[in-house]
Amino acid sequence: MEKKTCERRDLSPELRAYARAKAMEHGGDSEALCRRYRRWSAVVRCVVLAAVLAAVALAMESGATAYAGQPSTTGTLATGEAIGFVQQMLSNR
Amino acid sequence: MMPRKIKLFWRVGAVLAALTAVAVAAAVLVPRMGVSDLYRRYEGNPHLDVTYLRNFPVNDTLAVDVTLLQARDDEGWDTLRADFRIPELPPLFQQKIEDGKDMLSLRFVSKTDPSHTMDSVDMLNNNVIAISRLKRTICIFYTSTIAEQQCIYYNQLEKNITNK
Repeated sequence: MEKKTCERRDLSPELRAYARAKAMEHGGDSEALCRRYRRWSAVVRCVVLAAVLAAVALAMESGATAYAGQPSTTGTLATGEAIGFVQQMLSNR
Repeated sequence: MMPRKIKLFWRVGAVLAALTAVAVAAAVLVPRMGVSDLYRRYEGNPHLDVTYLRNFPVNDTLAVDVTLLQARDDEGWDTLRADFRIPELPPLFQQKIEDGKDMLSLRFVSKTDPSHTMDSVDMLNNNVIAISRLKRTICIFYTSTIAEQQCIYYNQLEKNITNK
């Protein structure tokens, strides 16, 4: 038999209690509230995690290239292409 | 009333989201701030491809920043020729370019205005530019020492002489 959403462990006890209290207060369905909270908390967790990971990756990439003095580009050409192009130009090929 | 832990959850979430937004904005904006004036001037011109290259290695120990301006079409090349005062070639040389032979020109230009010729009193007031007529490209090398200038300019001359 399927476990009720309000009893699932991935819904925090605070949200579970809050859903029950709200359902009792307004006479609604605590299960529906639990489902909604669970859905939203999962979405928020995913968004925050993805944003933090993206920010860390971006910061690491730009920081690493800036501090290590590694070539990097802004604009049309990618770094490898730009280096190759300038080298080719300087060697008159 | 919302329980305290839930409030805390949303507060922490909001702070994390704000920090993330700041980090993302910084990661996007910081590289944009570190580009040359020339890059900014020509960026968005539909007739040109513009690239700013940081730390281009000119040899094993030296690296300089470079702005690359590449004409996409005749109009773009005309703009570059006018802005950087690139003269018309005599017909014989022009024919060579049309036959696919490149003629790279290197010159020193003023750091404050690259369309002007070099400052002959203080060489450190100059950058080096390379012009390829075949590729319709201009490279501006931002030099800060004589060693960097020599590396680009004289090594290039030497290479051309040795090639022949």
